[in-house]
Amino acid sequence: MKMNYRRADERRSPRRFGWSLVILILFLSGIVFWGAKLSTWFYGPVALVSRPFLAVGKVTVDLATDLKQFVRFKKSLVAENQKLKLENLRLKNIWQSNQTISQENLELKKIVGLNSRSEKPLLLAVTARPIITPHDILIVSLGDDQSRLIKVGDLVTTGGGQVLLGRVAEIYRSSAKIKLFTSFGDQVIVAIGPKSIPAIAKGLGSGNFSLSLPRGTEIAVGDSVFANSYRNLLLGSVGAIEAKSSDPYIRVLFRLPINLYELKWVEIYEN
Amino acid sequence: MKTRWGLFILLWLVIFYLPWWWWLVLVLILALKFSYFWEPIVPALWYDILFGLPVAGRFGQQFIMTIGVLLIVWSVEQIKKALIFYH
Repeated sequence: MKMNYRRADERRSPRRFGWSLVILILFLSGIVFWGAKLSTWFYGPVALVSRPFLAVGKVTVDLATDLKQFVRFKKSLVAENQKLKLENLRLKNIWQSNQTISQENLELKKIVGLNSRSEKPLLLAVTARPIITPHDILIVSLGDDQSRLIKVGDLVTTGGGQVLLGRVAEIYRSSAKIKLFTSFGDQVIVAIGPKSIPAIAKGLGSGNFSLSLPRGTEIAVGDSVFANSYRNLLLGSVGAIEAKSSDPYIRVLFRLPINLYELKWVEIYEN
Repeated sequence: MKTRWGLFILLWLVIFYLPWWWWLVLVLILALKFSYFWEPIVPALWYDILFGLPVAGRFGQQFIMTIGVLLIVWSVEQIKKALIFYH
């Protein structure tokens, strides 16, 4: 009697597995070793084609944010208005006292002979921001000849040059990539609170930082955190302090004082 | 064939609007559905060229999305082969 056996599945042969693995490894090695060149050659055309799509995305997100504000309940709006009025008054008072201090600071610097920051920043529009971009990277658009005015490593700030965001990482003809200090794994030297306690903050992504300090260090929620290696610019304020009885260190969490997802403009200062 | 071209264009378009992890989940689902689904490689390369930076959080590698897609698609194909009943 003649028997028919099931045909061997070619797709499952170990030889085929081996070849596909070799091709995969070759492809991955190609990307790892020649990826940088690929980026240099193709960034221009890729950015040019992507620009209208990014613009549509930005407009849609801005519209959605405005719509969300519009459909809020009237009652909550009245209550919020009252709260904001009080907050505004409090901030005005703080601003006035700060003005006096900064004036005094400028005069003292002049007497001592220190240079004060007087250069004008370059204001640039953000075309892509997190969540679309990965790991806290911003894309800003550059106008005619603006690519000559900035260089890699320049400081990126917002809020009138008061809040530090990151540094310029790559510059192209019509756009630039900015790496935020909150990128996961990035580190920045900071000073915390009125006593300027030194520490190293680590980026956690999405505008968040963490740092560890010895237990017993005098800090509180709301203390300001300044990047003292970058002109003492504001980096955030302490949001939470985590302490475990078994750990001799405390973990301090803080975040940027702005909403990264609504960031429209950044200011670039020469480093 | 038309479906796969349509999916290629769709994947390329949504890369501008979806968070990257949603996009990877979409790729994983489509890789399970279609055999040898290599279509997301070009959009992933596009994404890495446009947004990528060699930062510490991405193992110092700019093309992390492309590498991720290659590994996902290849691994899914190997898993499919190992399964007795797939299609």
